[in-house]
Amino acid sequence: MSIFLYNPDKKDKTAFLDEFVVRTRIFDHLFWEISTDKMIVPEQHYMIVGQRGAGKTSMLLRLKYAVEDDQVLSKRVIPVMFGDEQYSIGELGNLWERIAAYLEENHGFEGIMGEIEPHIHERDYEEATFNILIKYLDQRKQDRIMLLIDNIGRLFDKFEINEIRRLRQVLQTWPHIRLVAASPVIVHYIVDYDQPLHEFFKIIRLNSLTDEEAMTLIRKLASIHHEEKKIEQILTTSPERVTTLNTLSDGIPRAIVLLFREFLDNEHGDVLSDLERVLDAVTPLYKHTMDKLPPQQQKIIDAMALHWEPMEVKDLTKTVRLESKVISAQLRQLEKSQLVLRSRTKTKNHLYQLEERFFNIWYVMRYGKSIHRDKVIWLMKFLVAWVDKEGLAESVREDVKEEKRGKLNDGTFKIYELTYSFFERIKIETGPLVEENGSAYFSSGMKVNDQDLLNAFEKEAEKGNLRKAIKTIIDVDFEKPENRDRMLKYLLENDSRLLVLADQLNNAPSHKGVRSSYFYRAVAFTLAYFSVKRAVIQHAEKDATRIMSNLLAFIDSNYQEKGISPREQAMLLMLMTFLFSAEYHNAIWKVLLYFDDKKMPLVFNLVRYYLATNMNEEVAASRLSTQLLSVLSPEHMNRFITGIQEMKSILKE
Amino acid sequence: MKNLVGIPARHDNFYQRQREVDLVDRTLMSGNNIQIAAPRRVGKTSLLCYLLDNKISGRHYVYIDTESITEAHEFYKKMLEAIVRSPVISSAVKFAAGLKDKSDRFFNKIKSISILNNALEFNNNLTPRDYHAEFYHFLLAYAVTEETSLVLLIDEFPQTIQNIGSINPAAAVTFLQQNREIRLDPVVSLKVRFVYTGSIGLNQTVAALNATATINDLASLEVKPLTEEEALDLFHLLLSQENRTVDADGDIAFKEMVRWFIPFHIQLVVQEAALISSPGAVITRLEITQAIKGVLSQKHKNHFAHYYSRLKVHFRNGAFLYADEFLKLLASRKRLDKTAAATLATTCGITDFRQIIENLMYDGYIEFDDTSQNYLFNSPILMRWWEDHIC
Repeated sequence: MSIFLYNPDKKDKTAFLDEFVVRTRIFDHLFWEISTDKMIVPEQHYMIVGQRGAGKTSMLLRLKYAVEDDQVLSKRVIPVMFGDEQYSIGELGNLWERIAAYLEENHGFEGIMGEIEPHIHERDYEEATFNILIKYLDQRKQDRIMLLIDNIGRLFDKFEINEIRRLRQVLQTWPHIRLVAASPVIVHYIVDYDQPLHEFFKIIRLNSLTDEEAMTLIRKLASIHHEEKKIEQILTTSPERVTTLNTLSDGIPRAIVLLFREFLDNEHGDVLSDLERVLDAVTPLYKHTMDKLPPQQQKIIDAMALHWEPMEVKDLTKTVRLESKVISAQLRQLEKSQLVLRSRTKTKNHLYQLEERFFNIWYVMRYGKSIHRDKVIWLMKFLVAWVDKEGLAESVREDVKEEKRGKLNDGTFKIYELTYSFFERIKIETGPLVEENGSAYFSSGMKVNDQDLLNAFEKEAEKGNLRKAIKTIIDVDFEKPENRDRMLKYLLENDSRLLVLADQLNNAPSHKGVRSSYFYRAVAFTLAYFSVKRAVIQHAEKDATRIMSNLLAFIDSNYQEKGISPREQAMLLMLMTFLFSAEYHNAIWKVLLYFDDKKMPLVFNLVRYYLATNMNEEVAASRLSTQLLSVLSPEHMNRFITGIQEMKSILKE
Repeated sequence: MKNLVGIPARHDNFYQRQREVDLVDRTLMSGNNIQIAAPRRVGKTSLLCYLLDNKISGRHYVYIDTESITEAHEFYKKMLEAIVRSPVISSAVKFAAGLKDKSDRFFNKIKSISILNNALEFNNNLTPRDYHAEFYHFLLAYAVTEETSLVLLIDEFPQTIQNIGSINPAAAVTFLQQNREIRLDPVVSLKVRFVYTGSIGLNQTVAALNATATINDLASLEVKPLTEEEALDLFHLLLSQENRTVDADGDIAFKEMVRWFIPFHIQLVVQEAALISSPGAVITRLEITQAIKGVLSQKHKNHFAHYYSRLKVHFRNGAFLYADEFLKLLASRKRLDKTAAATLATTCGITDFRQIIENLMYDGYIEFDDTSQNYLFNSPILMRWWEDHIC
């Protein structure tokens, strides 16, 4: 498989063009602008901005090929692309010289280097070289250059300020050269007002791939490599393998290409195994990045990566045990090396985090303690649980239709009745249960394989033997979030069985076998989910509020250090989606009072972000988005907001 | 018309600002040399390029950007090079004949320009030359032979002064004096005009060298925002480029929310409106509101942050404190009357606050509304940005 992950320019042209399937809208628009310019006067210069692996080099290369392949444009314009070659460029004059050398070697500009040579050690080297270059261009039909430079910040770093002024002057005055540059960050050369290139470029952002774009990329790769059937099977049965990795990698195409490789080798893997293998593949690159850093910078990266969320210098001083001025100086270097991102705040204390989320995740998974790694695994599970927004909307839409036909009432009463009885029952039972259950109970119990027991439960439940099914899970350790989440997923997907199960639990005289209150929690969450959904559709605010109060009281009664599982938190977000869409403020406030950034930081911040956005509190929204973007994609952040909006419109239908 | 960033808008991409063009034209016609002051992104260079591309009033225009020049002799050399390169000068027949002949007292002193195959050529050899004298004689020769006026459009001139002054302040003053002498020379001034622009203020740069007298012959022109009518016209043009139209209420919302019509703000609104709509869409008040929100979002922070950072450069100590507090208060209250401005001065312990307010008005931050007798932000967009990011 000839996928060049780090050097698209080394790839065969046909294969490259074939695989260029994302960012096509950006490319089309950019090329349309370029191809319709006459280049009689200086034209628009561009800066393509996107993190490492986002496809900047590919975009430059795609433009190069497009110009070469365009019958009209190629008669006038010569694309000249510099990637690693720019290491030999130390001053502006070198840039003109390198262009001249390229033209002599590839486009028959014979004699140009010979003419430049006498000026190399002269004072007017830059100016003379440029003039010679222009003179040679003016002698030809192909008299315009499209200069494509990757990682332009590194070049600017080497130039004196006056050389940058001169570059601006050239680009603004001479129509011969159009610059399309790329950079992983918006460099200060174009941001600061006192810089000559302040706002000089049109910025083209290569944002993170959306899940849909990631899927398209994988499908296209499958088609190129004749693996459509295998890949389609994976995408149909386990779309979360793509969406989760896409979020964890912050939507970089390079990670998706690696994931595609993983799919070929390991069709039946899961999100965790995919992540591990993709991290293995990027290890040489990231390890090299770490190894070449001086020790103080390595310490800072270590502290920031393990902390993961944005940090202030004062927090770093405690962790790294270096003076704040030393840390600040090192941070400036790390910022320049594009490893650290500084987010300005209103105070002097800026926030710092690693520039690349995937690098952060790689570091945590390779060098973090289990407590750090668990954070990544938790996030991964949460993302998997939170994937199905469309399913949620669709099920509400169906229920709304049923409601209009007057067919929802009977079922609703049954659900309410079961839910209220269930909460009444567990109110009495949970007190002693909490004391009796927990790790002590399970550790003293017999050793059993939880997964086998859960399989047996599902098998019996399928057959309709609920009583027998319940007996099979007597010894399952539901204190383990993964067991609870599996049960939660099962109940959510099998609502009819849930109702029978709840009925059994409510009516049976005793359930001494199923004593784990954590098992009850899975039932409580699913009952609350179905009840609140009905309440919202049928405008029963009181019921929604009461059920939420019951659920929260129950969670609180058996909340222990194990906390709330990823799927439970995803369920809470779905419940909040219902409450916000119906504007049940009482219920919302009850949940908010319960919410806590320590119990559920991600969910808590997402809800606060929605509130801040909704109330036009842009400063708070911006602060929260900085925090959230360190772990989520903008697509995920908006998923909650758009989910509410969509739900609102369904309820109004 | 394309939505351009950074580069001067020329030909079809230039939104013609007839008032400014006429003003420059009239000022030149009345024999003045000009300095045009405005912050970056207002459209100074585009205006110069319009004069150049359209040969307004039949004059010969030559444009030169002098931003990277650090020495006086280099400035004169670059000026000569730019003039020789210019097609309008190459076609000046009498001038070319004079150069060929070299019998004239001015022409025979010009060593750096010669005639090669009936075309002017700059002799780029390395022999040291007095380019100041060459340039001066060149202009004299032009003035005595050519009937068409020559206008030298010199961009980023204040930066050149700053470059020279940072090495040797006395050299910068001498440079300014030389330029003034050339401009006011009775022969040169018959046919040659100078138009200077720059994104850093010429007045402030020269004042820092205590050399204000060296530029007091220049007429100072301002590039003003577009009128409401022009702004709407540009807005529609840019939208049509994106294959969008706007309804009547959308136009009203645009006028209300943008109010200070500099092309760049209009470009940003169009850019954001295009992002949140599909091709063929009709833009309404809702999209305009959302587009303005987009303009104010974090991703466009760099477009506005310089307004705040410039305050720190312009004002020092107490003056900065007052300017900062004044703008914060204005952003949160939307308007301030003169009493509130005076009260704030007392709180900040400032006496010369009127000067600070005048500077804020001159630099394009605020205006004084005669009807309500209140200070307002020039731009509601900037006001909202201030409220969100600075307050």
